[in-house]
Amino acid sequence: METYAMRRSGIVNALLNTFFILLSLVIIAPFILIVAVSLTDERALTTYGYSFIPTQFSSLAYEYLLQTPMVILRAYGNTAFITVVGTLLSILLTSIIGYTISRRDYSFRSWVTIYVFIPMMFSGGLVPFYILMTQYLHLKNSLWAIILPGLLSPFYVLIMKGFMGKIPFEIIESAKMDGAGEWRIFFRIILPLSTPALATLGLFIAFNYWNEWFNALLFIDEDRRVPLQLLLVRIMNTLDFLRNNSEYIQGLGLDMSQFPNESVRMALVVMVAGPMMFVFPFFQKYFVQGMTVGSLKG
Amino acid sequence: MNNLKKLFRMGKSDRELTLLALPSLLYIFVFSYLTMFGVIIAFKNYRYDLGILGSEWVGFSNFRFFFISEKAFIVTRNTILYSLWFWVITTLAALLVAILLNEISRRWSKYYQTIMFLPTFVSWVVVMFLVQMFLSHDYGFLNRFSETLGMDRVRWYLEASYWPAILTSAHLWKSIGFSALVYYAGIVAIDPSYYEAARMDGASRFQMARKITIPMLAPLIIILMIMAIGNMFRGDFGLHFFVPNNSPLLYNTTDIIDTFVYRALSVSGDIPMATAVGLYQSVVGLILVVAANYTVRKFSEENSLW
Amino acid sequence: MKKMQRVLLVWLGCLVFLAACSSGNNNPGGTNTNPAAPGNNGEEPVSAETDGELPHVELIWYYGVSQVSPDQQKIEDEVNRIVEEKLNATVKLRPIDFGSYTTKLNTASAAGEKFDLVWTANWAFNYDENVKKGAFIPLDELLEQHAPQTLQAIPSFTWDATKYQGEIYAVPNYQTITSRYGASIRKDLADKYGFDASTVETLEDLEPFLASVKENDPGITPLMLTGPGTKFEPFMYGFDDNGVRIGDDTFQTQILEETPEYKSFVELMHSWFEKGYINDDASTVKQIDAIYNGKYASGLESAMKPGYEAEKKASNGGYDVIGIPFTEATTRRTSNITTLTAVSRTSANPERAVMLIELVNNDPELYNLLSFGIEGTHYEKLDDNTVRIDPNASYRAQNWVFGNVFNGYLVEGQAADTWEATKALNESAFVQPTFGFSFDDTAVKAEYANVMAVKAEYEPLLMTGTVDPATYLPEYLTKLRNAGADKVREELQRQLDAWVAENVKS
Repeated sequence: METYAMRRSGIVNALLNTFFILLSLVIIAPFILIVAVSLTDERALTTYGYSFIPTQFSSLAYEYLLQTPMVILRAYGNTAFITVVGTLLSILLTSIIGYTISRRDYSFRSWVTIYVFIPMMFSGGLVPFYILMTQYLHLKNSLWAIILPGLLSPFYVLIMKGFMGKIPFEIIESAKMDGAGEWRIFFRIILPLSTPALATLGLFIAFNYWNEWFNALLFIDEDRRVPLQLLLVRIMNTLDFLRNNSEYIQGLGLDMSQFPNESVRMALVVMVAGPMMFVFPFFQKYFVQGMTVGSLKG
Repeated sequence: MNNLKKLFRMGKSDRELTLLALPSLLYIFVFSYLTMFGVIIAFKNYRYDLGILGSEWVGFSNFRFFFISEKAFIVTRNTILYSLWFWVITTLAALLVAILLNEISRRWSKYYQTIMFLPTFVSWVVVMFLVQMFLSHDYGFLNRFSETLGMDRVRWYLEASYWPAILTSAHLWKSIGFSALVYYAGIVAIDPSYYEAARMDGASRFQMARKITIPMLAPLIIILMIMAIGNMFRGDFGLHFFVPNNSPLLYNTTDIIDTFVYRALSVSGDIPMATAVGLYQSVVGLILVVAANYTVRKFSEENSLW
Repeated sequence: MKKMQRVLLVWLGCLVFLAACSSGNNNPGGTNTNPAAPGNNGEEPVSAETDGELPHVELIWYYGVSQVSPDQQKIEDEVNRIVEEKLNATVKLRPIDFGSYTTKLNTASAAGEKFDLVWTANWAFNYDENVKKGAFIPLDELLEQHAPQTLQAIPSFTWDATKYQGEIYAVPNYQTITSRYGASIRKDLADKYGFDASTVETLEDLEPFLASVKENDPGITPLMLTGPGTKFEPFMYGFDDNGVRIGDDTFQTQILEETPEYKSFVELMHSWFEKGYINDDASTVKQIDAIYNGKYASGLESAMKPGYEAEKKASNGGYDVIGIPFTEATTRRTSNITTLTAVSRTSANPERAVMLIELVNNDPELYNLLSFGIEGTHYEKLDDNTVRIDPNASYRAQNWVFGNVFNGYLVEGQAADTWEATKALNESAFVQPTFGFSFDDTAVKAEYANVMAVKAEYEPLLMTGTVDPATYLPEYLTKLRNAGADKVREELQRQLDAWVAENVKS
């Protein structure tokens, strides 16, 4: 494809690139604003409003955040652990069940399909879930409380089933002829053949884990186990909540000035989303590669 | 009975497959079936000290609150329209971006993709503050900017008619990178020989996109569509709650079921009524998925979910 | 085949893990499959506490903070040094940020999680709702036995405010319990226009001041309002919170929105909005924060408590303000339950939990430790009773979530007699006639939820004058009626009549 693209006329190429540069600018503009605000002196904000160029440069916000670098580093560690372990386990669980119900010769196919499907319709809601997690699985304050709930989504199982159902049955049959057991077939033949599906779903799942904060909000009390998104969401939510209840806060006398100011909050946004600029290209390479490899084999 | 017999006398293949799937089956049992009895909360006056089973049955009275509300119609309409519209616009935009991405050199496309993907990692609360930086009446960038041009300020947060467009922009901004990447990966996976053959026949790029790329992506598009339909009744709470800054004058065009329920129950935090509305959303969602799948099956069986 | 065995091992591992998880709860005292474990209703024998050693117990205490502090563990250790010695107990402090608090505690209580003390309020982790749902235990007896000093220190009407069906379910964290409606105006601007604040008796009297500011100070908003913060104050117009006209001994409740007073208020606000006195984004501004510093000339106040002028000065860019009350100070049920500590029904040691409440409310050392941290590290003393908090301190908390604030230090800038003045005001405030009555919405839940939704939609618009009441007020009233406001009022009246029959001597 590379050579193919190069053969095209320079004008079309330039036009396309202009389009994408403009699109990228539009998408990145809010980030520039965030970065600008995070680098602006808080007082200048009140005088000049929000601006793309820091009206009065100040790196105080970052200095403030970096006073306690451990908080952010630990949160990064937690999120990385959750995302990697969660995605791997999730892919495994999704593919074994997706594969099993994709097999037309499996006797309990329809039973198992319905069994997987019913939870999509009825979920018990928050309370029984919370009881299960805390009183039976004892997962309070454990990173597993963030990983386990998202491991298997019926939707992803059905998608996986759709992908795997398209693998020609002859491949499985001939492997069986050669004396391979079902497990061997699955791990040696089916999984490698399904790389595109695994990669696609993997991205969905990894993305969900990276952005997950609600389970953390429910189950994590200890500060050192807080994932990155929750770190940010807590500050933002608290600010929004207190603002909405300012009627009561006023009477009680909560000093809002002790709250991280606008610059600090935006600096935190930069620190949460920023590193992805450098990490993401790697993931993306593997992702696209996985797709391509899969298609060549298939 | 027959099935039970089969269970005990199942073949080696069945046994192995069942064993293979066992961890997932157990997982589903623990995380979905064990907790499922909790739906009955929707039909109870739940008191913590009496417990879920011990609380009094109240029939459908927890559902009443939503259905007697004058707002039920507006919010249901908004929820459905937004879901449909978001699906259409995101798919179109993402397909366009994905196809164009495939036309430029890999080296550059990587940078564009990374930039487009960034907003995915920003939560809606942050987007709320971000949108305020642009739209705030006094300090917002847009109003400051239009003032320097000698134009009037716009009272963005008081004018409902702007908001479908603003919400759409916010939604696209946050989701385009992700959707485009999924489609882009799908395009890359298409066997290049198709394109080679088409080029031999003298097909233009536009024709190739229409005749090869889109049909090859159809299964992916359909799967994502069925997923979207299943969630049609469940709006994006974060987008609709935070981004309009909960401004009452905008409710007509921003309010969805989830935000309305939140507003009505935020004082009481009533779990049974919230569960009831959730159940209503799931049941309708389920009906929609089954219907969508049925329709897809009629036209192209291999693309249906089951 | 070897591979297969290895894979099998992995599966087995998973299975064992899952099995271990699902059978994890095998302590005999634990809850069984049915989460409807019998809640202890505080009926355990409360004896043998005076003589003999108390057995060592652990208490878990959930409360709200604006941000969890890095030094939390240090404070907990220090707290336990005191609590260990005095109560032979250890406390696990569980500070939760306010933004998560309601969701987290509602879920945890609904799920019957075990904890002992829990902070509650009428604006976060709703007190009334959770009492109704049986989340807390009644405390009357426990308080008498284990917390006599606390019982004594708080006026009886404040205890009345916490009662549900005659029983106390939480201990108020005693602080300002009055509210007083009024306005605050910038002193320098009042002087500039020769505006004599002492002539102001009603809201309308502010108009000349607003007009002068509007005319002469184009950069300054004459009256700065916020959506959630602007309310129709029934008391200013002679009503109490349940819509009963003060002095009406038949206790007829009215839908306040339908009264002529309400209409005149929203009309006034709208006329001011039209004249440009009110910030045009008032209905969406949630809080007057730093960005508005020094940019507005006046604001409405709902809680003019002693020393609030100083607070106001600090938050408005250092401008002196003049406070103009429109009403006398009043105490209402809602202003008494803005911060409370309850004992969870899941507490295994309710007596000890109450003892801890007593200790926190009467031991200044413990209370100040929780509120301000460690001296020298987190704050420094300016004099015996006043402290300066280091703005970058690695411990921050809100003193009003723990207990009686009058036992604690004052913060730099507060007048030395702040506590005395507040106490005096608390005890002299006008007690509203239906004080102590609380509405139970169980019978009209669906209607009530809908009425709340309609209010949340229209109030910020009408209160801030953003919309024209000529069209919006009738629309609002129709919507209220359709949502079932009449049914709610009838139920309110029914409950109120019953309450009056029992509590009001005629």
